[in-house]
Amino acid sequence: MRLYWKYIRMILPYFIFSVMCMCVESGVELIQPTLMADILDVGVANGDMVYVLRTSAVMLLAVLFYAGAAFGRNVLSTRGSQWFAYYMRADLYKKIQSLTPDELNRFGAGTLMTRVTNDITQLQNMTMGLMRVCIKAPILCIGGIIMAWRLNATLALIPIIATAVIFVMIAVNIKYGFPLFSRVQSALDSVNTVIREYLSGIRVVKAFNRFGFEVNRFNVPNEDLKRKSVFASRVMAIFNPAVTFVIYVGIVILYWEGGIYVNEGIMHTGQIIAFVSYMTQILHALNMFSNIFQRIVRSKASAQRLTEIVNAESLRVPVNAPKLDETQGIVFENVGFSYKNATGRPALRNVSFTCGVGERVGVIGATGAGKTTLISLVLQFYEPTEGTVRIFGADVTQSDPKEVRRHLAVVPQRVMLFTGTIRENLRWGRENATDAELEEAARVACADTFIRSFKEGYDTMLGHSGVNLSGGQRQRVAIARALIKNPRILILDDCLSAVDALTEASIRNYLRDVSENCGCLIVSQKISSIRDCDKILVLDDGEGVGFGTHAELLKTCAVYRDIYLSQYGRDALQNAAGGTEAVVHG
Amino acid sequence: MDKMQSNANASIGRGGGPRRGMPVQKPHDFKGTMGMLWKYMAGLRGRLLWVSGIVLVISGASIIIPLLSGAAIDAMGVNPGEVNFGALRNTLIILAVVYFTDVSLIFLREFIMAGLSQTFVNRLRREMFAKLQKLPLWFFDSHESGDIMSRLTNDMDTISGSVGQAALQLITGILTVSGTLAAMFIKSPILACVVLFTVPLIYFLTRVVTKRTGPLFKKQQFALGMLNSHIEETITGIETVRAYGQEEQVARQFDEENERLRDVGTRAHVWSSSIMPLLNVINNFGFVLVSAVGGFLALRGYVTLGTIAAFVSLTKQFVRPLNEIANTYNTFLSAIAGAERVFDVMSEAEEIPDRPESIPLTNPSGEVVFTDVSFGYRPDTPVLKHVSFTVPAKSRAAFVGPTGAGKTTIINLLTRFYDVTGGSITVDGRDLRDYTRDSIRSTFGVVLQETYLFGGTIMDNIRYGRLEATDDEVKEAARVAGADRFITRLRDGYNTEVADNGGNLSAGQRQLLALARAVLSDPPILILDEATSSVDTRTELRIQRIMAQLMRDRTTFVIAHRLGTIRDADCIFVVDNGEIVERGRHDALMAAQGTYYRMYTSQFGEDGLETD
Repeated sequence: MRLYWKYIRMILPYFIFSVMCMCVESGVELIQPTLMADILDVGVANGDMVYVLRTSAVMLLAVLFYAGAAFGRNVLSTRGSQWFAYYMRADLYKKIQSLTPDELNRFGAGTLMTRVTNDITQLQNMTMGLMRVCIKAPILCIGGIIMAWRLNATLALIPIIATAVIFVMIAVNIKYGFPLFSRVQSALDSVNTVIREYLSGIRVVKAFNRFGFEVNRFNVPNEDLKRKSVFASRVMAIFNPAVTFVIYVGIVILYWEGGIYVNEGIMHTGQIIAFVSYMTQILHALNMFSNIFQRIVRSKASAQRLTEIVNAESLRVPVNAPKLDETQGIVFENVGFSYKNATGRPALRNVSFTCGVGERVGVIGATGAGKTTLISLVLQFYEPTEGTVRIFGADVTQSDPKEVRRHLAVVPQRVMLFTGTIRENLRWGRENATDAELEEAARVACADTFIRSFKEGYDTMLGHSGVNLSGGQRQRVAIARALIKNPRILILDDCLSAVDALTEASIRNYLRDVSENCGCLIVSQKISSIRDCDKILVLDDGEGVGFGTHAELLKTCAVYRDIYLSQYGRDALQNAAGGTEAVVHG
Repeated sequence: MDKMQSNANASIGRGGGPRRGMPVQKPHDFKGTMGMLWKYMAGLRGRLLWVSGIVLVISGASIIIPLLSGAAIDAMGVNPGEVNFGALRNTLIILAVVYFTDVSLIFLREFIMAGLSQTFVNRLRREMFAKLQKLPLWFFDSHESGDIMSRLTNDMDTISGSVGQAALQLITGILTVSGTLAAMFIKSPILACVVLFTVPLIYFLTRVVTKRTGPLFKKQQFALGMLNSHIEETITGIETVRAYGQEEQVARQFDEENERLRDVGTRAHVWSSSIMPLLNVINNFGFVLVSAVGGFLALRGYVTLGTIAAFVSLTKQFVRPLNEIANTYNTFLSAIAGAERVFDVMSEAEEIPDRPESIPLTNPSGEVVFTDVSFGYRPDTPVLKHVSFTVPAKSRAAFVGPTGAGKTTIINLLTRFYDVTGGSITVDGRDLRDYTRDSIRSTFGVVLQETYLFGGTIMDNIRYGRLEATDDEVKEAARVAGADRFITRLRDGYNTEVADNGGNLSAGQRQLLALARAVLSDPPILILDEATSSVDTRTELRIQRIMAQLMRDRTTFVIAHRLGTIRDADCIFVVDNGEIVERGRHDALMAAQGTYYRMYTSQFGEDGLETD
């Protein structure tokens, strides 16, 4: 709940003013029954018409005040709660953006999404409720008792006892209601996970005709959700009638005891009417209380889920980050890395290599050899668990990742584009790039032609994650995006395997042209993509098993030779070996 | 940022137009949506009837209670010593019984309703999910998944929260209002008329409010959907966001979306939640009227104090039902807007049903013929232009060509994800559209570039290819697909849990699982669409060797960028710009020194040539 108060404080003015409005409202509601009792017991009993009219006029005036306060409070509480949610969403989103990759994986996009929207909406509703009734309910409740006390102190014991009993009931309700609703919430999460997985794999589901299977997969959590929701609601269903019943019992007793007092002349009949009015007002107030408590109980689960995110681990904030020397490239020294909570062997072991600015370094290895992990380390998504990584002369555990990334550009294996125009997506590379520069980069990436073929060219809107482009088109846009950045080191994470040969050739030509002030780290599974590189790093099951030129590796690195064999056949290997032999000896 | 808005907006509509049209606000069809809700109540209406019966009794009780209160007051008289204790006791005994009945029935109502509303939403969710199965691929290609997600979760939740309650309150409201009115007229027509004076006021004011809130709530739900979409996109793509240092830019976009949601939310809620204070004011106003006029009438001896006491309760009761509706009004409107968005999906056009005379495709020999096939995802941009080719039974066809040439589209047509717009495709001499769609899809085993893995073990995920396969068959398929090497290295082997869509596996590993799945399904016709693009070449070579056996006795379609993998194909089709520009065997195409030759040499360099 600490989280909650932080944001309440942010909207404190709204909160205070709406509380003030509430005081006015409650005061009016409290005074009305007494005024009416006066009309009946003084005005009517004495036949005083003027008194009746005057008191009515006072009551009417009070209602006008009431109206003003009620509308003011409505606007204030609505605005306040909307701003509340707004601040909360903004902060939470920022927090999510700063989470470490491990934490992001732990939560998953789905739950993060529901937390930012659903859970905050829950809290927002609660805030709105609080601003409406948090003061009104106690004022009406206590005020009602006081007013009743003034009418008759002995009879006032009835509402006092009733209120006490009901508060005990509310406490019990909180104790047993809360766990029920958090169970409902987690059941809902399971349902959402299935839906999300399904949506991401719709093509495969269709291809395999697995509708029945998917329906079953969906129905299990769906039924579970239903069962838990029904149970929770049913347990809660007993609460409200029970509260009402307590008040009803009070009213019946009141009538009987009141009858005795009226008979003895201690009270007037009009006062009994007023007394009953206060009783129902107290009931009303207590209902508000229990509603608010139910909301608090429900939103407590939400608040907890949000607090989880707030408490999750954020990325390191660099302090006194060393100045970068962009002319130096990447240096890995005996680097080892394990993912958090990962089982089995570390993802990287004993990896050493360098990639200077102006140098081209290839990284080759089998699927799962750790190539992409290596790139994650270069991009400082993770920090090494062993050895040191220095990029642009600074140890990555000290330097500011954002600064480092300014001079790196990556074309990831899994291309991500974002909602917006193609032009906007390209500008991710460099915000102030001119249109001509954009087009030039697109030409190099062989993207210019297809972009121009769209009716709106570079202003074509891309849908969510660039859905309206084909895989290869997305890839080429991503390459162009990286080129625009004019990086010191360009990282191509296996992106050339998905583009066609002509595109690949064009990009390699370009790389040759700019090679002097731009280093390049090319990850691939194809020897042909990296054989011309100045140096090649060979990864095998996470381990660095070779670092050298193509010719050197063919001679010294068994794994590399193996890969070569698989791609070119035995004859070629002999040719190549002979060729290099000749070169060496020549 | 209005483009985002228009995006999702256009996505609701159908047709081939560009995805960003003008933002079209659909009319808020309240009646239609309520009708749909009623339709989905089928089978639950019996229970609803029970609840209505209970509600009827509760409403009756709520009318009797004020009358009994009045009687109790009247039994006390006006002056001391006038109290009629016999009458007072009898009245109070009846009152106690009525009270007890009232609260018991309220509990019963809530109890039944809990089951009713959850069953309803459960069913709606199930129907929605079933509907997703029937929607054509076009729907998923053209909608933001965050938006669909939001409809299935957020909107569904709001429906569950309030539709049941709202229906109840409607019934209770009507009954109580009319009953109370009758009671008031019986007790005192003059005072009844005074109270009635507030009715047009209520009616008029609530109408004004409702008119505004409907569209506003829909807008609010929409803004929420956009926000969801943004979050999903930027979280899944967070590595790219970070790599390009776009944290601030993305946060700025989020702020804009967030502001929009706040502003439209404020407007919607200011209006909708004004109903409650409004009714409170009217309520208080009614109280004053009853006191003033009642006092006046009592003075003249027209009414008793008991009548005034009864009226105090009755007036509250007269406004209270409306008050209760107002209580849940916010959520109710959200629910209707949500329901509408759910029903929008429900009413989307489904995959065209099989022709009535269509037959299942069983044990095909596997000859596939494209005759003059044309196709475009949008009418104005053809992707395939008059494509004709024949793939003989049990042969291996390969499709190569630049990205966007139309290779995947050929697969999309073959599996009937989409239907041709011109020409025809035949399998074993019969038009594809004459076969049932289900049988076509079980005939083709497709391995796609994108992989789909779900929460479950690796074993479960492979078994997806053939659900009745034994554990040994699954392992054998994994071996054929070259996946068992990495699987057995995992600590839990085949029982390793797959995280969120395979997040704990590399792209290549995911592809191997997809391949194993296809092997397991043992389809007569195999389609590999870039199936091994993320697999390393050594593994690929191994897979190829084993797969060669698999491919020998079935028709196979292969799409590949790595030309080395398709060298042995019986026929290679070079696709460019929606047309087949070259076809033939590898040697012939190399000899022709055309497009294929250029592609091949650029990929393999001289070494590649030397091996031939």
